[in-house]
Amino acid sequence: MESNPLHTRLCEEYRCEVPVVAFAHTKDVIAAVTNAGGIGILGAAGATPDELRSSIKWIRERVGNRPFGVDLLVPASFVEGNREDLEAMIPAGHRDFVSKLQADNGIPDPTPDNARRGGLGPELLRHSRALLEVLFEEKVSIFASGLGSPAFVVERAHEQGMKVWGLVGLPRQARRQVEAGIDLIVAQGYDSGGHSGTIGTFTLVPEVINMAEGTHTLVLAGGGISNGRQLAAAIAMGADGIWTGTIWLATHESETPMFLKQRLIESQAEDAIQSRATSGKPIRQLRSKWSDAWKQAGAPDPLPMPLQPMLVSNVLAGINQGKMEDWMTTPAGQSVVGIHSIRPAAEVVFSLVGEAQDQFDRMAGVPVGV
Amino acid sequence: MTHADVDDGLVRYFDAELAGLRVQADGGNAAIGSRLASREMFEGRLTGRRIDEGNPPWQWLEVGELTLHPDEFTDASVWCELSYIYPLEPVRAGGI
Repeated sequence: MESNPLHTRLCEEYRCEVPVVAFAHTKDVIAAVTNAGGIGILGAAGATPDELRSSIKWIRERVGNRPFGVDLLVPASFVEGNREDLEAMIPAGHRDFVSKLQADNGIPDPTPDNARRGGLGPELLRHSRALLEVLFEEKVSIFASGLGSPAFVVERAHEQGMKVWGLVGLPRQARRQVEAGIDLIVAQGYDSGGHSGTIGTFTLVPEVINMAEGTHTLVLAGGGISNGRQLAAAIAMGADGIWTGTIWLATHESETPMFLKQRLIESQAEDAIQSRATSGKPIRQLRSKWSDAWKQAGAPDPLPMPLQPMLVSNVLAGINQGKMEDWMTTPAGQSVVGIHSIRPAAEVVFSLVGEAQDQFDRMAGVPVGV
Repeated sequence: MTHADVDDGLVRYFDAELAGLRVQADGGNAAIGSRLASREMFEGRLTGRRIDEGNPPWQWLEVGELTLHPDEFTDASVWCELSYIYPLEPVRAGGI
């Protein structure tokens, strides 16, 4: 019997047809990828518990019993402090810089959204716990922790038949997750969008695979993956599949604004820069007038988290509400270079798999494209 | 360990055996309402202060005397989750 290298343990254990996992904030992308045979993971950071519950029900109505999950950014650390004390720590020079930026460029004042007002310290823990409770109540089949360790909920999740996934950026994090009995580890390299680690994908993934060998823990490769050659490479390294994010931003189903989709298509890998201008922490994102403004001569250094988001969140909300295209951005990885057109998500899944199959055929000496 | 104070669902207590232990820790967080997070690394000494949140308990230890932290980090201490704390010195039987 011929073996199909693309039918991995991920496909066996999760009953998906292809080893492609899509992370996206748009529920339509999750449903489309899941129905195309992959696994969609909804990024729910930024959602309220009610919004999360509604999204889960919406997806479930469209995918039935096919596997999908939810990713939460559970914290790995926090600092204590009250908002007033922290506000007082923001230097007047920074406030002046942001006010001038807003006035000079016609950035409107946003409509307040108190439900999303940033929380601090232990409030972060309570908010994460509230979102987790939604996952348990709704019996979502996969909980993916996009930042901190999910070890503290593994036992409860397994009792409910849920799988627990963890994203790691360092081998020692992977070791702890294997020890904790995590079901699947996403080894996420430096080239990924958002809060990437410091180690490249090709270095990190094999090391994590070695750690998980002989255990029940599966491993996905993540970071910089946008085509089937990379899917084939991940499988060849021993991964059970791939974790992808950026490539779904420009799909038909994505809620990404059309002008940002166009910028994604036009962008090269080097346009996915790391900037601290938005959150105070290095976030890989598309270069924009906002990130450029904090690099210009005379601009102050961005403040640390949480001061920077406290300083700029209103202005950023004004930019988004005012749809100021050149100033808006999106987290994006270096795989942005692999986006060439706006396509249905299912077509992206089929392309990834088809290209990967071509690579395996080539390695096996089978003529490709004949 | 000293007695616990319960504060709005958080159980705060002091674990004298751990105070002073040199550790590294992987941290990071995202503000509520934000889709943007961070990964960061710390090195310092456990203060002995602990927080348990919820059930099953989510366990946090305070790291102070920081000798390694992100460039822009200005606080004197940071709370780190148990899973990603790595002792740099021998630790008591049973671990942290």
